[in-house]
Amino acid sequence: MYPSGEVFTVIPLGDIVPYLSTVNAVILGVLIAVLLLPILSRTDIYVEVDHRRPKIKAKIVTPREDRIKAALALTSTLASVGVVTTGDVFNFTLFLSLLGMSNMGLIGTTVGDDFALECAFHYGLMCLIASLPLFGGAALILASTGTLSLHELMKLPRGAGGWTLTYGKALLTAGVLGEAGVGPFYAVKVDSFRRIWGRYAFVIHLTTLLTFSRFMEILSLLP
Amino acid sequence: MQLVPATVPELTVRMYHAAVAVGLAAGLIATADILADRNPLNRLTMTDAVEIGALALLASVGTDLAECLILPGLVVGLAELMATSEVLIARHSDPRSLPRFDPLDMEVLRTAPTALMIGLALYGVLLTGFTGGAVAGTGAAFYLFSRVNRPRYEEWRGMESLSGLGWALWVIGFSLFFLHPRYWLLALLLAGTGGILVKVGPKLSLFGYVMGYDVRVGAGDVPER
Repeated sequence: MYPSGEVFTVIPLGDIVPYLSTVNAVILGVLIAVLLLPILSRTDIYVEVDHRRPKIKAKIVTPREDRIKAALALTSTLASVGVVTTGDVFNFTLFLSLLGMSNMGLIGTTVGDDFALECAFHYGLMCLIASLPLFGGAALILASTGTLSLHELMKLPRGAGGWTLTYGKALLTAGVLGEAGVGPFYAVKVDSFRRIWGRYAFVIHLTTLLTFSRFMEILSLLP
Repeated sequence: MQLVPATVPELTVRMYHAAVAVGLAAGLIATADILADRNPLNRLTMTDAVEIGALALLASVGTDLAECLILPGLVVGLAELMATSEVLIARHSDPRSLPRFDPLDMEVLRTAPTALMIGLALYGVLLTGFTGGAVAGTGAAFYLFSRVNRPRYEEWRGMESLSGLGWALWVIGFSLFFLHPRYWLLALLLAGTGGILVKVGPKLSLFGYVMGYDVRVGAGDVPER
């Protein structure tokens, strides 16, 4: 029995074997709906009000202007689709790295000032540092159980991995925190919701949140 | 649960804990340096040391699967490094503040790339397979990037026959398998070396063609040999 409910489909793709279960299907639907939102909304009017000296500035954003942001949001969503459907621990970490990278790009480009770029740089440093516990945790899981496939890991008896697996779990948690968990923090820090490209900043929050629900499933799958 | 085969010596199994400790220690030292340094470029450079710690953790598992995992780990680390450096460039980019250098004129800069390239290509051909292709390609790329050496296309022309030679070696090795199966090791080496040479030869000749085109069009500041 899988922790995320009944398994609908299994894609027999070599030894990775992605699968789709009840909770993951709901998450996938939400992700695709959120990706469709900025694509279907055709124009965006951005109004800035300065209270100290009475001034109102309006800017109409055409879809042609935000092609880079749309591409980054698409990459982010596809990476989190990969995170949600994959059946392999190392594949999970790779998709998570792609997610962190595209979210870093979104934070750097949504607002368009120097402070946002500095925040994106710090997020990138965080991603680079977090790749050590991320890949190291996957390597420790491989070393302690001999497999990375979630379908095989589920069949192992409790306590099969010993302290190495516990250590690997801890490292993997730290890696997920550094790679995806700090993303919303930086997105809020540059105040990207209320700024001009706010509809793409929404993607950052959603993808990282849904990644966490998937990570909970992986933690409960491990012996 | 017995995971390690009995043929693996006990010492190798025991060294795993030491390898994990060393990888984590390398990462921690680099992280401490990142925390202490305020220069963004130094911080970005030190993340490469963290990446090496991650690769050490992956490599210390030491199975075929771990060998397969090192390559995507390396690629992902490089991609993150490039993305972050793009952000840094966008933050501090001012075309007037970029440094300009006069080209250095040293004997070793003219002679070393050729020797290194020949050594790496030969070693890569002997290694065969995927790793050999990577090593030989690294040698060729290094030669291409060191802009001091720019051979003329006429001097490079013989390189195209290299792939023909490799093909002949492969055919000899392949037929040796059937004619004299006792010499299977020789046949295997011939076929492997020939296969890599077939792959490397056209790329080298392509490099030569591109560089020759570059010289003929006139790459302004390339110093004469």
